[in-house]
Amino acid sequence: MNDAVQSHAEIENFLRAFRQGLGAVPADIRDDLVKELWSHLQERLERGQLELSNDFGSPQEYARQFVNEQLLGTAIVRGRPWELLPALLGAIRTASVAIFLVLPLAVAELMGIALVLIGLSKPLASTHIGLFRSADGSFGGLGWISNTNSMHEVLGFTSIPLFIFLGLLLVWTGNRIMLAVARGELSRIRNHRHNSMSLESK
Amino acid sequence: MQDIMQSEIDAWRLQVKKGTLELAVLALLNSRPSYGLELLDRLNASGLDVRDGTIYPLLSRLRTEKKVSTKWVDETSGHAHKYYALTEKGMQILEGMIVAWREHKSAIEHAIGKSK
Repeated sequence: MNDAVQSHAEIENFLRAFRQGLGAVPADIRDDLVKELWSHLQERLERGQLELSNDFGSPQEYARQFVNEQLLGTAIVRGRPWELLPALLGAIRTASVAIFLVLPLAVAELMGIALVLIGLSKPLASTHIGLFRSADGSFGGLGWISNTNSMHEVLGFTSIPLFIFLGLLLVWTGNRIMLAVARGELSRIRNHRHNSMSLESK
Repeated sequence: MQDIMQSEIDAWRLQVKKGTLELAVLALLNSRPSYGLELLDRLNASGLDVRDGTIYPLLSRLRTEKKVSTKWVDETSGHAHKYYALTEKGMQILEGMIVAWREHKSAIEHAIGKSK
């Protein structure tokens, strides 16, 4: 095999592994990145300056930089909870942060959504939906209660604005904290990348 | 001993480069749009030794942050290139970074002057 053929094969192998590593990135962005890198490597090859492993490291590791950047960066810009959560869980390397911070925040946001839904559905079944107290005065339940014989609903229609407000507040607060965690994680990834690779002199 | 000192200086130099590469990239793109390898050549011609693998994650981030826009151009000779150009937001941020850089540089020069 001559050098040119070997170099072409090396580029193709690198790009194949790079594309696989970009798996979680949206297809259009993935194609764009691979096309750009292909163009770069071809030009380096034409100049006789191709040093793949020296300049880019392993294709999987290189792809990981884009995956975290793309998913977390895009999720932060858009600020949508359903995009933030998977991006954060995919990027976070510290299990304790995921278990004790990100997942509880996700649960809090789900509870917020549930509260909003309870508030909105109250007019549909006012005697079965709301905040309930048992006959002995203890907490009876929150949400839908089918058998309300031994308890009574406390808030009445006041619960509609109250539940909607509290639910939205919970979702908003949870999302703000999750955004802050995501920004911190992205900053950590960028610092790690800078420290671990490639600004040194050739 | 000399080697340890040199490696500490190299580590410090790396940190300085790390903190200023974005400014250099934005400044070069402000003078004219460029594609990745062309930008690398321009950075290296300025004396900033930057490896190939560093530039694309940075450009990707700048695009996500809407500081640069991109456009594929089919060259008359050779293959297509993805050109990066500064957006309005990128220009405003660059102006702020240049002011901050000059202030910082002046403060450091002042401190160095006092140490002599």
